[in-house]
Amino acid sequence: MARRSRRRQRAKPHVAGEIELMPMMNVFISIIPLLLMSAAFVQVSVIQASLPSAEAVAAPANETPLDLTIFIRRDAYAVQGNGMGTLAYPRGDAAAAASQLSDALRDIVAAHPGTKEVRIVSEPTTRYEEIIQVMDIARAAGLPEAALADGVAEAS
Amino acid sequence: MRTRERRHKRRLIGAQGGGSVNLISMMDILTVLLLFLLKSYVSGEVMVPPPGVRLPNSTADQSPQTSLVVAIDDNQILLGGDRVASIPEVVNSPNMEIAPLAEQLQAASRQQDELARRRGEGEVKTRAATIQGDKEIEFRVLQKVMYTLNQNGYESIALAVLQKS
Repeated sequence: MARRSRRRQRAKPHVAGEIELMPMMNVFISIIPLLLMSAAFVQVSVIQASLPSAEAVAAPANETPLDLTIFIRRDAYAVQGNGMGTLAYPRGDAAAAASQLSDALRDIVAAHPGTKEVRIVSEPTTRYEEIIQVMDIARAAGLPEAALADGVAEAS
Repeated sequence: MRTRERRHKRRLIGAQGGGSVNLISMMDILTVLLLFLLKSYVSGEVMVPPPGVRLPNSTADQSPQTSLVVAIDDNQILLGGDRVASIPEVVNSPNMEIAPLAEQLQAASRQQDELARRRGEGEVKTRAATIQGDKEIEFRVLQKVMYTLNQNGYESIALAVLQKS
């Protein structure tokens, strides 16, 4: 009864009073968390990668001055280049191996200024995340141009 | 008489805990927030990975460009949201090129060419693709996808990652 009288009152054109905001509030309150969850905190960026093309894999190792290669093996990271031996960093402790690799790459970049390229050689079952991690380390050390390759043609 | 009645009713509601709060200012804030979120959602939509794909974290800060999206999750490869191949098939295939993906890529290239021609832009020179890979996928799958993209004219390949804060 009371509700009906209120509704009739609102139907009068000259009553400007209260707008029924609750439905709008309900919609907003459900939409905003949804959007917040899906959009606001997902910051996607990209890494440009060159390809494991047939020519790159088959290229002779001494074509570039320093053919820097990082091998991601199951048990160790190995860094190899022309005129330097193979440096291996066992991956028993992941964080320690990552920092060792990072230091080694920094040293190499310091010793060979102008080096921008690095080849990252993975095993067929290497996880994508590990490759991205090594690319990050290489980029932080000043080697932004990473090419991905597989280990088949690289057997040393 | 009527006003007294109304006042009484309002007091009743107030006693129940609701009351008439002034919601207009809150609505203003919510509206602005909603518009902002909708806008960021729409502009970033291209890069929102499909469900089931957990992107790896990285320190990369290059912002993504709109391009063809190939998503790889634990058991399938998606091109622009459509399933094109399954992971076991790809892993077990002796070929480097993934045939169904190659087919779809060529269809996409033809579409791009057609669009460019209608716009009068001429031949599409560089084709770009973005790979949204789950962090658990194996390198042999990624390699085959990249090889297939390369073989079908997609030379600029970007790997999508989640930006570490």
